[in-house]
Amino acid sequence: MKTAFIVQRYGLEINGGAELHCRWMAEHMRRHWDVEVLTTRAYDYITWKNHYPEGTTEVNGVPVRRFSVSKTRNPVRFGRLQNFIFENEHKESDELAWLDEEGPTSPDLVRFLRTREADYDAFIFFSYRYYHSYHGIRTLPDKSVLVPTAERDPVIHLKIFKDLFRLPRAFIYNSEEEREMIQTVSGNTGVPGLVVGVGTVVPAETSAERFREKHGLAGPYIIYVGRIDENKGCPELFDFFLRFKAQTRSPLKLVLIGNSVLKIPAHPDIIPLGFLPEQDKFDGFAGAEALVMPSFFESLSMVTLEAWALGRPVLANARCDVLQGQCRRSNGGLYYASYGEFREALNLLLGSERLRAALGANGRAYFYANYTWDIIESKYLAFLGGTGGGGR
Amino acid sequence: MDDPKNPATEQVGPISIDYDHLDVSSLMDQVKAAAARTQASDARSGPAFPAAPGTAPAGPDRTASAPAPGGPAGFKGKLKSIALKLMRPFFPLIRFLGLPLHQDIRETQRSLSETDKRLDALDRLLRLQEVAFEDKLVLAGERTDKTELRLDLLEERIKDLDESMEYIRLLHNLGHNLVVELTKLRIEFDTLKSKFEILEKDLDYLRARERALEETTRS
Repeated sequence: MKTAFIVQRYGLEINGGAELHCRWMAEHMRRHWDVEVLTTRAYDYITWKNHYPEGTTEVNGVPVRRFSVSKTRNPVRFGRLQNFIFENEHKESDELAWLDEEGPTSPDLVRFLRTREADYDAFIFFSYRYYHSYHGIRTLPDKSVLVPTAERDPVIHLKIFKDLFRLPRAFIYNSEEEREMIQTVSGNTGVPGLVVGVGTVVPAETSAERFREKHGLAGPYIIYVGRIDENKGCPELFDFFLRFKAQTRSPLKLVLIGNSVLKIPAHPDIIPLGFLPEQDKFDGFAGAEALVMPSFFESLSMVTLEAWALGRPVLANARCDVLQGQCRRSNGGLYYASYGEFREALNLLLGSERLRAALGANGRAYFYANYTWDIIESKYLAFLGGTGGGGR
Repeated sequence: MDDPKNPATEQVGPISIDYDHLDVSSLMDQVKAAAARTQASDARSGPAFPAAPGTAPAGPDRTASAPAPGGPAGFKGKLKSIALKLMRPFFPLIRFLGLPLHQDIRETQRSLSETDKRLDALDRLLRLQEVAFEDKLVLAGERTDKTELRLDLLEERIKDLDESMEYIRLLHNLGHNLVVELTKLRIEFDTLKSKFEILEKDLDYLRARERALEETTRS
């Protein structure tokens, strides 16, 4: 089966959610299908400026065909347009103008899809909210499969996407909550869909001691992994953590792994380590009392799955329905919607090693039942069918 | 039997954990209850909030009964109060004769007169707005009627569409049945054709045999 994976950016340097999701899926499904990635030349997701050379290259054994972005994004104009459509009555043409401004605008990619439809058996689009998915799915709806990677933000309520969600031949969702949200906003219950998510691989060996020694850490700590950003709920996490420290006099530390785009409070127990290699990240999980996930918007938290894969419990933001749903389904973590709940839940986790172990074990079982690569690949194969052609 | 080292339940602060049926939802119910209790006790034992700066204390307005600045004081004041006391019996007469009133009474009267004029202006404005509002109400009523008419039309169209949908469904069924029948006929045709070919071959065979027998008989 010849399958095209279509995504806004693609490359080993890109660690973003949907892009990484697409890359991992393409790399794993090439064992079963004849896979090709269709993407743009962009690397920077703010401006979509052409960065990679045009044409076909190979990334980790997967052929990647890149198309030029016809115009870069002007962040100021885009922000103004976005504010206008979110805060005012507007027409569908305004939403299309917003989509055009959001980019990455690549008419060449859409033209390629139109002219070469017959050469492929299926087109799997990642991220519903960008130019390539909207115009691509409208060009070839009968062969389209959409992996929406949707979050509960205002974009989902735009009229253009309500119509778009009824077009593809099938959906592959990241979570039950994502499916429910998309079905609620678009009423697309007639379009077949399956909750799959994405797999991950954990290293065979992790060492908490190595992590503590390397970064000079002593005493208990909770860990946050991801971009340190307002959208990820980090300011609230800092506030809650500092209030918790002031009230309980706990020796607990908050270790942060990831690049920061905001000012981190200068406190001896808040320890930002920056972007770290994968092994360090997993070593960090191994020594942590729990992973804390303060994000308000997630379609699937890979970091949460990784913590569960290592048997660590999770403390998540209850206002993100996906995280709360995952904690409930797995019985692998607690969640909070206010400072009071944060304090009580964290006290509970820190107060019982047995509870941490039990929640971690539940999380691990949930991960191995749903998110190993064998399971993810078999779900794709069972849902979309077809083998052969690949297997290089 | 419970393992004494690992009992089925554990109490962590106010929260009871049942390890035989570990359920995050029920744990979270307890966490929420504990958070609410803590919040309530914090509110009870917490320090009383001081009044916001600039907030006036509750109670009667003391400035209301305070003497006016620049009031009678000293010898001049005493003289004035004696004069007023002496004149008190003549006050009604003074008012009656329309002698110049006290300055503040005149100011009050002027202010009242201004207020009266403003009220008149406001009243006129209100009447104008009332008329405009009534016009708008009439327009809104007309629009509502039109909208209702459109809704009725829309309902009729929806009914028509429903009927059309029904016809389409019937046509779809008919088409389906026709396809099924045609398929059956095709199969039957193929079967008959096969039978015909077999019979044709049998006939050829019998003819050949007939010829052979005839030749045998002749010889």
